Amino acid sequence: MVVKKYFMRNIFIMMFVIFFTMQVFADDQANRTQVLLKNLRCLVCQGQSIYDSNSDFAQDIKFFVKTQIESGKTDNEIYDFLANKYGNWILLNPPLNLTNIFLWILPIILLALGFYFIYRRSKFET
Amino acid sequence: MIGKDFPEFNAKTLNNKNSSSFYPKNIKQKFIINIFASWCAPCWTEHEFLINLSKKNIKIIGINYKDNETNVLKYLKKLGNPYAEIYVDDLGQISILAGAYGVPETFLINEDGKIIFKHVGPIDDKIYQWLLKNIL
Amino acid sequence: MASSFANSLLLASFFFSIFFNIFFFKKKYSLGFVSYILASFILIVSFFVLLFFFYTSNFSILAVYENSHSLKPIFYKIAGTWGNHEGSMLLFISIIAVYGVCFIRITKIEDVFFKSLIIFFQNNLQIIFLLYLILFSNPFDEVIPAPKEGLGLNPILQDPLLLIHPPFLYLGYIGFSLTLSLVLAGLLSHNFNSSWVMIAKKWILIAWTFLTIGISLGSIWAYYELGWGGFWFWDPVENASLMPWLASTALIHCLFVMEKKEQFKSWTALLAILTFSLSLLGTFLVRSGILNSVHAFANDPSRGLFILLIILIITFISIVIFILKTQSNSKKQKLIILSKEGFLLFNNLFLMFFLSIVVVGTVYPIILSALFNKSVSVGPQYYNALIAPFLFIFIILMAIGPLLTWLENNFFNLKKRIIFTVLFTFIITFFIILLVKKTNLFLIIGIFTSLFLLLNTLIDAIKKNYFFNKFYQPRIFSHLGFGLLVLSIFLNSFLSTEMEFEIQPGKKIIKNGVSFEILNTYETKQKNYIELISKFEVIKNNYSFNLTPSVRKYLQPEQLTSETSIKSEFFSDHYIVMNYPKGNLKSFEARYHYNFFIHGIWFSLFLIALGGALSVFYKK
Repeated sequence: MVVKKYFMRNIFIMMFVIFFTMQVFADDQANRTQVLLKNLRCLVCQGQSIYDSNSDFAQDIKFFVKTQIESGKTDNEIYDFLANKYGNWILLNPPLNLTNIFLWILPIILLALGFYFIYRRSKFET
Repeated sequence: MIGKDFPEFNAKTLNNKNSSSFYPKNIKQKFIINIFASWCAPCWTEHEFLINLSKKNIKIIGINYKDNETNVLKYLKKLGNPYAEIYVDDLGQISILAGAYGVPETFLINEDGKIIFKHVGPIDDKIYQWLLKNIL
Repeated sequence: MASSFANSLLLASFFFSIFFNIFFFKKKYSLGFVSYILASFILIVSFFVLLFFFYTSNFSILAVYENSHSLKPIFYKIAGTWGNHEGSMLLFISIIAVYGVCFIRITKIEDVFFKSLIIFFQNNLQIIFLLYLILFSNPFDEVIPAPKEGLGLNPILQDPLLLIHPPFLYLGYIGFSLTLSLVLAGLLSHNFNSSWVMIAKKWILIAWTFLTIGISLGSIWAYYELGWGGFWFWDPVENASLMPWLASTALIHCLFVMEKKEQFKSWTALLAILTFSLSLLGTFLVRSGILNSVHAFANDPSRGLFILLIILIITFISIVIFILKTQSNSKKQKLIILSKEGFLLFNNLFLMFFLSIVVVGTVYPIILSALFNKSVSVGPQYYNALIAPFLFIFIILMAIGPLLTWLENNFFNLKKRIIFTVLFTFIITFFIILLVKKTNLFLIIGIFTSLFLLLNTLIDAIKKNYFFNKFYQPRIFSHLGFGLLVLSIFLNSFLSTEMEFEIQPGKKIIKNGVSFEILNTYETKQKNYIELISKFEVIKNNYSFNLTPSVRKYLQPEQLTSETSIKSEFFSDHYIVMNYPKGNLKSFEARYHYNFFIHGIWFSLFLIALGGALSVFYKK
């Protein structure tokens, strides 16, 4: 029984180590252009990203993003440039700023309240 | 884009095929920038208004969006050429600098090179009257 | 003629509904039931009359004229009945009526007043919406003179799945009208207790099952019709159907606590009200046209305002009844966190959290633009970032919760077993990771947690022989389905690949080790569209197969759509969409998707719905 316990523990630790080394060496750079294009809204379409659209507008933006990446611009530079030209509406992911701070914190507040409620209920005395 | 500088850009012109730079600040007068293409049907409908504006000595810079040279020349020959200069935007990249959505699109630029008005879609009578009133 | 006949049906139904109210207040309950059944029957007939008008292309009817065309195949003529605002509203009300009638016929309740009270609420919901239909959105409005031809239906909606997807969705979220009626009647007549649960449970589960099927069908439709390669886009209308689903899932779990232990009663009532309000909100979002979405096909802002008003009135009245009639002195007990009911509370907490994310993500941009004229767009990353981390905790709780016991803490008896499952899960996760050759922390956690749920549920079921126990089957299937769903979603989103390319017929191109060639292209002419089909040969890992994506040019109204072509293998789909070629058919832009484990998603949705269906048929 004792032997078995240590055996399992060792396997557990070994796997853990292997997982994390794999993690460190993993080449997990997803296609950057694809990610960028999926995060941009096609402004002339209904509910499509630039990536999913084939309108002229989307094709221009695709070309633009590709050339910007080739010229060494960072993702944020590209997003900022386009948001500056077309407004925040073009970004499919809301940046964290004062206008949409509630977008992120409202659900979190609710969750915290829920936890508090359950905590109080668990201290309830009859 | 309203209130911001219209961007400077570098592009071929339709006339001499050479790359030349466009500096909106150097024009020093109110002028119009119009993005158009011969394949775009609404562009045909607004063309008459552009001709009328150019007859009133209003400077119009054309940006020819993703077009074919022979077709534009035919188009201008048939409908007249209201443009003081036409820059070729074969990859749609000037449009992006200008924050444009497509064709046609029209910008009014002031003496300091700032965009003071922008219209997406063809110019109609109302827009035409407004432009006349605000430029002259 | 046609129009006035149909309109008189609507009016007749309206008056019989009013008669029910009169009989109800005069305490003539059985007469009331008769007139309610008559009202509902006439209403349902009027829906079929509209369907008949669509079937026969009767263009003197406005809704038919605007949404149909004589050249359209019969199949889509019929689907046109609910592919538009007016028709779908009529379907909406008819379904309220169907639930009411079925309830009268099927459920036996000794207390005739209580049963009448339930139907009273159902009937008045029907009246409110019927009034709205007749006054603001009448499908039987007449066009004079009758046009010779109709305007057509959006081609993207001309799809066989679309014939059945909206009715299922409606059977789902309108089914919650009966839930609301049951709760309000229960509260008012002081019948809101564990025997109420016995009556209500079945009806809530029926609606939930339909909603699950409806959402699944919508997802499958989006997968092959929209041609974006995915199955869920966090589109506002998809979100609108997910909201009542999350609320009702929480509600169903609460019912168990209420049935067994008479606890969390007011919370259960509130959830029931919330569920139907969210169903209505969904209708409002779809129908008001304030959404920028692929679904915004039938919209009119002023109608949206009326629906909003109706929602507010219904919710307000429900909340008032709730506040007045909930007994605040119900026997509250100290909550033991590590007990079954403790975990069910956590289940509710997390479901409410997910719900709030979906609601805030969908509604916030609308409010921001309406009140402050500012725009913000909320994309998939917002939902993924907020949901994923908590989903992991949710699943682990879901794996352990059912093993616990009511009202006491036996968690420490389970310690050994949980450690064993954790290790077992670790080993399997390890081999899966080795097999798929991809390491990403999120993927690993996703696989680990979902496997943990799957294994816990499986071991529990096998040990106690639950697979053959009709009482436990629903939970086992639904929970296994959910575990498999999360597993499939993680495998799918991390291991699928896609690439875009341009290709000329006759030329072979090789991209990322996959070779593509167009063998031939040809055009066919159908009744309502012209189709350009390309035959592709794809070779991947020495495995060769053909795909035939196409582009359709619809004629009424004129529009291009891309049709996907899918080759399914056991574990994955190969999927090609192409665009309409520019110029002289010389060059095609196409996109190839390799969708890993997509069938796991469909199968798991089936399991979840199966769980619901089994519980509907469960008899003690």
